[in-house]
Amino acid sequence: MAEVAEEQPTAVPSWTTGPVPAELAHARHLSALVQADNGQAIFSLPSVGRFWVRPGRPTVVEPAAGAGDDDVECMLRGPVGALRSTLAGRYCLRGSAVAVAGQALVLVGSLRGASTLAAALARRGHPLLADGVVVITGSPATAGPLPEGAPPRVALWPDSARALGLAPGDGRPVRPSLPARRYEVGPPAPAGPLPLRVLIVLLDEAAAAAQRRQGHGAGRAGGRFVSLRENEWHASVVADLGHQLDELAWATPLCSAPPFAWQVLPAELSSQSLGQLAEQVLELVT
Amino acid sequence: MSLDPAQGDLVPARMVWAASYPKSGNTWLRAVYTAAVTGAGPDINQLADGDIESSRAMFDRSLGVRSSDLTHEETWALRPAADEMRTAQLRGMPWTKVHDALRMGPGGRTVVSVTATHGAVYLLRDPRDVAVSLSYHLGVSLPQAVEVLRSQSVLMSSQDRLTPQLPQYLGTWSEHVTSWVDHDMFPVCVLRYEDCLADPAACFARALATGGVMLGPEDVAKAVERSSLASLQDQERRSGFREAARGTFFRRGKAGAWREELPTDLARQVEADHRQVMQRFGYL
Repeated sequence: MAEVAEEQPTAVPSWTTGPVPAELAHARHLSALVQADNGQAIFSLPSVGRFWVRPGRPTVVEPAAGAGDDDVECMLRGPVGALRSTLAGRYCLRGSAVAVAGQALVLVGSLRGASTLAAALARRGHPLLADGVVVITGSPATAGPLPEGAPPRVALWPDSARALGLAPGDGRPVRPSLPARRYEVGPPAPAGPLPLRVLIVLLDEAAAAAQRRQGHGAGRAGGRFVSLRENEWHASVVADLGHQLDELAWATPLCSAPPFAWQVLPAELSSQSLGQLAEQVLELVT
Repeated sequence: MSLDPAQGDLVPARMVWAASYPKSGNTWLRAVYTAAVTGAGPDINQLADGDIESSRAMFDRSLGVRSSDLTHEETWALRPAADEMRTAQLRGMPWTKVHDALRMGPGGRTVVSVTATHGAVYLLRDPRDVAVSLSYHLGVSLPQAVEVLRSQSVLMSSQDRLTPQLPQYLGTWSEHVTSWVDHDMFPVCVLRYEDCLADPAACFARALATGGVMLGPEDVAKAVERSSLASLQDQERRSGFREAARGTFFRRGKAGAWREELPTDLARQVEADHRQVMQRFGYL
């Protein structure tokens, strides 16, 4: 996967509208939404449109009737952006990232928890690096946003926005038909990816207790690898394209290095519990 | 070319749905199944074979999408495809919990994939007891719980918070029952919760056989014993239960407890709302 030319960050999403084939003739990965071979992929969601992804070229979008720019942008910021990066040899995690003292703190495991905690950290002065898709590259690893993405905004549901003291009107709808909104929070993000300082898997109480009973804690590389795969975008595409060895090479340093940690999420995300959680994760970095 | 497991071909799994209206004994059923296939006492937070069908995390991983970016209609339409992606990566006949009514989604397919299905065990319980249990579980009044049973209810459909599960269409209690028992798309073993309490070994032996788990009477009895309500309650006290929305999940579990807890007018309301199905299954 790494032979494809690296893309440089751009200010706006690199996409254009145009016709997109209904199918790839020799797809090695075929699922309900994604067809992929080693050089291209098509993401298709009937109510939003079809997206033709070819690394090094703009993504071609054929919007569905009735789909708006926000619908299209939502997919470009999420699954399509992650697919594009995956084909270009970069691995993507489902989660969020913030910059703390020039290094990246990555949060995965619970999308609601990751976005909300990232916003809480951003409100404390730590710039938001990425939300939804965190791109991991290099060795030692760096973490950052999608290179072709717009400046990162955090997607929050109303309860999380309230807990953070954000007014719903300050956000922009993720999609017109969804209650979640995107917010600009915290200081501006630094340009480009940052060295990965810590990767935190957020778990609810019961999941954490089960892990303890099974002995899969932060100290076990196997448990870390499973956790990474569970939080990886398009893991089945990676597998079907035959890139498991590249994936293993990517994941092993992360699994064997100290920056891997588990953190238990409180049952209710309130202003107070978020504050305590933010302090706990910052202690892991400082 | 067809796949032949005898020749070493890897044949995708086909699901066994542990299906029920909420608070009808589904966790107990899966606890017995877990005890049966592991030969050990079940961990209520790690029941075989994994999460509920409507789990967001599972859906997202299966399809390479983020369900929080999708509308209810889009997730409903895509759930059968997610089932098929999951079964393609599994083997055998994994059991999976489901609370949805078995209805057509917006994509013209049933909410769970029929092609990914081996069969189902459908557990139903006296709706008067369900109403009482549901009021505790959801933290609503008894009249509100009775209203849930008679309404076109949708679970996990919050517009305020991101729920860990996708929205699940229940319909009314009566519609839920008939959706699962009155079709010929795949075999369904129908069990009454009350019969399971009265003769657990016989009932669960039928359920396990439907799901491809063939055990002798002694092994079934052991699995039932290891999954007693007392042992599940004890685990919840010691370690908590991830499915407990508030308070205690495993409460009384007794058949007919509605006589002590449900006011007469509400009991009559439930009977009026669901008379036909209640009569059919011996509740009236």
